[in-house]
This record gives sequence, C-alpha cells and structure tokens, in this order.
Amino acid sequence: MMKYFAGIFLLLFATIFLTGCREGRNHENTLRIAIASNLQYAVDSVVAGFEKEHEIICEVIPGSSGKLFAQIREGAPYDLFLSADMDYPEALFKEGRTIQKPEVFAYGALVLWTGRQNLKPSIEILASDSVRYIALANPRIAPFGRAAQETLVYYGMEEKVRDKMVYGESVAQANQFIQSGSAEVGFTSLSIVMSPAQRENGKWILIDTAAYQPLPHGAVLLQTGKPVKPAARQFYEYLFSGKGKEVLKNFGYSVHE
Amino acid sequence: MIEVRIHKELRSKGGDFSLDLELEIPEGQLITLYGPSGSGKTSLLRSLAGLLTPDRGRIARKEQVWFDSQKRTNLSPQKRNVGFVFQENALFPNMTVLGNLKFAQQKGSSHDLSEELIRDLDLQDLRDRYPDSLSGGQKQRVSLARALAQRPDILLLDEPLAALDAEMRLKLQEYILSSHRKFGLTTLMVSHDLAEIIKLSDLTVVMEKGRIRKTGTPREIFMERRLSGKFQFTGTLLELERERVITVASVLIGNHIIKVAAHPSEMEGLLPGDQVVVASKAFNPVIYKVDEQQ
Amino acid sequence: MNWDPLILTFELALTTTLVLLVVGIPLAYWLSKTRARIKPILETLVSMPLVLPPTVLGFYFLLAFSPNNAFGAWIDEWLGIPLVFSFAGLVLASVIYSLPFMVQPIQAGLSSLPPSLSEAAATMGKSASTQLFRILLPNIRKSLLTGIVLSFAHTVGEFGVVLMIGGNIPGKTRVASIAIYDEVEALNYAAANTYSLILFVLTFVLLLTVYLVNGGYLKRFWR
Repeated sequence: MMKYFAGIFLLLFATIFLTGCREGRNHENTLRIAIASNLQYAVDSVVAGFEKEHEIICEVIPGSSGKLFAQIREGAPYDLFLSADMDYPEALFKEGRTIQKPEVFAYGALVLWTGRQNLKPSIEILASDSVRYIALANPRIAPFGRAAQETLVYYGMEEKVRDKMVYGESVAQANQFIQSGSAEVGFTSLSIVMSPAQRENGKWILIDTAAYQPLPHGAVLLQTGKPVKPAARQFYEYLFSGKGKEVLKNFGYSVHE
Repeated sequence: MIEVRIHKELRSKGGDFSLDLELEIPEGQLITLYGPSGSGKTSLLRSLAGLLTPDRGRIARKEQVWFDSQKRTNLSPQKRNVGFVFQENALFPNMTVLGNLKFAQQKGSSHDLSEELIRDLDLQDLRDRYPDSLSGGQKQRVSLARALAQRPDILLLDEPLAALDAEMRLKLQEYILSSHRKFGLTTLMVSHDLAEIIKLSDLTVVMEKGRIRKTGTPREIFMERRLSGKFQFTGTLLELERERVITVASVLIGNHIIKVAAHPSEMEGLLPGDQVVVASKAFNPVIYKVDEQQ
Repeated sequence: MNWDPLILTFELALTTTLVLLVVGIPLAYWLSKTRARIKPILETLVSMPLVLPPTVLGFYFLLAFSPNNAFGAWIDEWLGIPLVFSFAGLVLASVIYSLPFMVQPIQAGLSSLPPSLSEAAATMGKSASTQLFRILLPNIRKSLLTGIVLSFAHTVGEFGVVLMIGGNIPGKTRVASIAIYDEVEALNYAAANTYSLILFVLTFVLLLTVYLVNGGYLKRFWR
C-alpha cells in the first residue's frame, strides 16, 4: 500500500515538474500572437524577419477573428491580437482588455479563387451549373466571410447561390474546401493566393472593393495581468515599421505609407 | 452401415495428438464410445456430425459420401441429418422448452412431433419454462428431446449424463434406450460409466490416444474373466469395511446398495469408486410379478 | 430557438445507427467466426476511429469525398450523391467514425456465446443466417443494445469530422455540436447553453438506460 502511494506521489511530482518546464518556456522572450487566419502566411513572414533581428520566439495562434476574440475575452494568454477587422479589437479595448487603442496596420482584399483547371473564376459563374459549392468563411465570426456575403448581395447573387454556400469556420477552412476541390470556387483573402505556398495553385480574380466594406486589420497589445513584455512592444513597432509594411504589401495588403 | 476412415492432427490442452480411426458402424444399434479423456471420442462424434473436418480420409453412410478428402467432398452438418446432444446441453436460452423442440423440428413434419416428445420424455411441466430455470437433468432431458425432434437418422450423444446424479442417470438412460428403439435410430454415445455401457449398448468401441483399441459387445470387452456364474451386475464400489476375517464391500448397483462379503485377499486392489462386477456363482433365483398393492 | 440543428443531429444519428446495424452485424459475425489471416488487420481498422483524432478522419474524408478524387467523383457520377457538404456524406463518415462502437460490443457478445449453440442449430439443418437471427442475436440483446446506444450517442457527439466535411450548411450539415461551437464563437452563450443542455440531458438518459438495462435494474421489462 505504501509503495502504491509512493508511486502516486512520484507520478504527481513528475507531472508538476514537467508541466513546470513547459510553462517555463513562457518567459520574457516568448510571444504569443493570436492572428486572423487570413494573416497566417503574411505574419509568418513578418515573424521570420522579426525573429532574425531579435532574440525572441513568436508562437502564432491562427483562428477566425471571432473565435480568437471569444478566447481572449475568456482569458486566453495571448500577448498580441491581429484581427481581420476593427470591431473585435475595439470591443476588447472598451472592455479594458487591451493596453491601448487598436490601430489599423493593413487593409485586406477579397478574391474569388478556384482550384479547378477548367473553371475561370467570375461572379457570373457562381450561378452556373458548373459550380455546385461556394466556400466562404462563416460570416458570423469571420470578417472575410462577411465581405464575401456583402459581395454576393452587391451583385444580386445572394438568392441564386443560397443553396451552394458552404461555410468554413475561418478563411483557413474555406481555403481547405477550395484546395481539396470539394468546393469548386470560394472567397478568400488576397494574401492567401499571393503567398509563395499557394501562388501556383489555381486561378483567382480580385473582387471590386466597391462590393464590400473595407477590411481594416487591427492590431492591439493585450492585458495579460502582468506588466506588458518589452518584446510585445517591439513586435508591435516592427509590424508598423517599413520592414513590416514591406512584407504585408508583398502579400497583397494595402498599408498606410 | 457408416464407414469411417479418418485422420486428423488435433491440438488440445493436454498436448497434440493425432486421430487415426477406422471403423464400421452398423445401423440401428446403440454404440458406446469408451476411453480416457483426450482419446478422441468427442472428435469422432464431431467428425461424424460435420462439425470437425478431418485432414484426410472418408466418411460414407450407405451410398452417400459425407466426407472424402481426395474428392474434396465435405457435406455440411446441415445436410447430414444427425442429432447431437452436447455435453453442455447447448439449449437455446432465448426459447422455451417447447420453442427449442419446435425450432429443431423440420418444416412440414405432418404431426406434431414436439408435443409427442414432450409426452414421451415427461416434459409437460417444463414445456413453457426457459432453459435457465431448469436443473441439469432436466436440461439434458430437453436436449435429448430436441435432438429427437429433428427426426435424425443418427443420434450422437457426447457424455450427456456425465454431470448427473445416479437417479437422474437411470431415468435418462431409460429415455435414451426407449427413444433409440422407438425411432429406430443409430445411436453413438460417449460414456465413462461401465454400468451404463453394459446396460445400454449393443456394441462398445474402446478408444485410446486417438486410436481404436477394441470393438465388441460390452460383455466381451469388460468381462474378460469369463465368470462361470449366470447372474451378474455391474456397479460402483462405494466403500470397503475391513472386519476381522472378512471384508464387506458396499456396491451401488442401479440405485440399490448391495453388501458383499468376501475374504480380504479377494478385495485386494479395489478402491472406492472402482467399477466392479458382482456375480453369483450358484443360486436359484425365484421370479414373481411385483404386486402393485405392495 | 432554432430546432433545426437538433433535429438534424437526431436524423443523422438515427440514419447512422440503422446503417451501422446493417453493416455492423454481419461484420461482427464474420469477425467472431473467422480464422482468416486478415482478421487482426480488419479488427485494427475497425478500432482505429477509437484512437485517431476525428480531424485525421475528417481530413481524409475531405480528400476522398472531393469530386477531384476518383472515389468521390465515382460516387457522385454513378449514384448522383455528392459526399462533401451533404447529409449522405455525413452519414457515410459517421458510419465509419462510429463503426467500433457497433462492431465491438456485438463481436464480444457473439464470441462469448458457446460455439455449441451454432453447432446444434447447424446439425438441425439451420443456415448461418437462421443461426444468426434466431439463435445468436436474441441471446446477445444486451450487447446489441449497447452497440445501438453507443453508436447513436457517439454520432450525436460527433464534431471534428463534421466540422471538416460538413460545411456548416443550415438544415443540411449544421448539426448541434457545430451549432454550439458557432454560437459560442459568436458569443451567443444563451443559445449554446440551450443546445448543450439538451444534448447533455439526452445523452445522459440514453447511457443511463443502457446501464440500467444491462445492470439488470429493469429486469421486469427486459427478458
């Protein structure tokens, strides 16, 4: 019996020790950055440049802006939040969960993308028989999904394609539906099709910016309950610096020059 | 006539052994298989029923070939019309006694055989009971009735009475014998009980290590000492009481206990539990009808 | 309150369970009897959904069901049923995903029956299917109930696979678990709570039924 308890204690200590080690990695030089999934490729690039200059490790957590917003509200331990809109960061600001007022670091652009060789993407084709499914991010929680829906309304297509729409939980999942060929076409971010990883895949057209509300992307430093890390401020500044803007422009974002 | 010539390598808990049998089974007789456990008695029954496929050989009944390894014939159990009474009774727990019998009965049997068997084997009180609620002896009685309900040509009984007490055994022996006669069956039965073998069987096959040792009438096989007496019983030795000059042996014959006194030297080598023959060399029996008033 | 996701969930779970009964019983029967060499491989495959992350299955389903893929295209063309973003696709995925929950209890039940039951029926001239339906299945009712309820409940609780191949289409693939996820993300906690509570109570009642019945607490109603 004693042996049994001794074993349990040993196991407990081992667990605490190991988890302690894992938590230990979260020191001053590690950043957790929550980003809207359309930013994934671009931010990876920004992070690579940033990490080269500083002794800082960045952990990137992609998701739909709405999901990340909900997680942050419930106390997720992120240092920065890069959203695909301004509403979510503003809401966090109003709730006092941020260090300062959010700022726009880039504007996104919407594209219609297909992975099919025999399809030429256009708004008209959406209503045709050759398109059975149209992928978009969930408009309730993803700004790019909202923009896609606005576009369909703008062109008077909404009724015609209602039964064709399939919703990814984020832009990333909408991409997955398009890439796997499950959906013939779909709406996504320009930054995705501009990324080196996807540049060669499929065809896309830019959606007229008149068709949807602009997509300002907001960045904000988050309250973590501890003093804000200098590294977080450094990354924030890097994002708005010439180097950061250069990378974002390469991925098709427009920035304030 | 059923001709059996089979070979099979068997793997059992007691070690591997091979079954090598050559046997002719006359129809219409009650044959018992006798031998130590692991001698292949059950395997022989299972091969006959088609539940075990021999490696080599041939089994044929009359003109019909059941198994022939050379011609790759292997008639399925379904087509052999063999009734099998399993040691562990194998009654279907989801059916009543009558349900078990009716399930076994072939479709289109003209009269209701199940009801007839219920009467013959005194199962009236049990007909609507489920197997779980029956005693061991009752289960085996139902199991026998069920095997008969399918009107088999051949009845195979794998130690059906092994787990039963003496009284129950005697009753079931009667049922087996009377059913065997009534339906004109060829019956093969595995048994370890000499009294039972001598009482029931026309022919006994003694098996050992997968081979047949002896075949003959029970008397030829088990009474080699050729007693000159005219009257003899087989029974189980219950106990030996040593007294000064003689030893008294209590022997269970049927459900009677008989005491036999003899010189201790005659009792040497006997142990309680042994199967023994009690014979009388010279006596004048009287015979009379049992008075029903008595 | 929108009842569609809940209704859809139960339609999916019911259809899946029925298909699983048809597929799972023969498969379990075969597995319980066979000595074929591929038996361990098949058993492993059947059990895989127990340990694989649902996203792995979902990912492969997405690839396999896509019309870009030979299998997806073939189904699409010959049966006229698209498998991605469709109810039929969810059923197929759920059948595979919940397969072990149906097959394992039935296989275990069948293996626990003495072989002499089938053998006795065989000597009576009864075919394998008669043996299965008249003798074997009626004697493993507890295992059957376990298989049915677990498959149903597991399908109700399915999330990862549906998320990957469903496309969140209201009335078609937007099942309760997805709706809950959605409402939570949209910060609509009241709706999420309603759906969650209904699922919680329902699955509790379902599983409780199994434990009551199989534990013999309801003997009077179950012979």
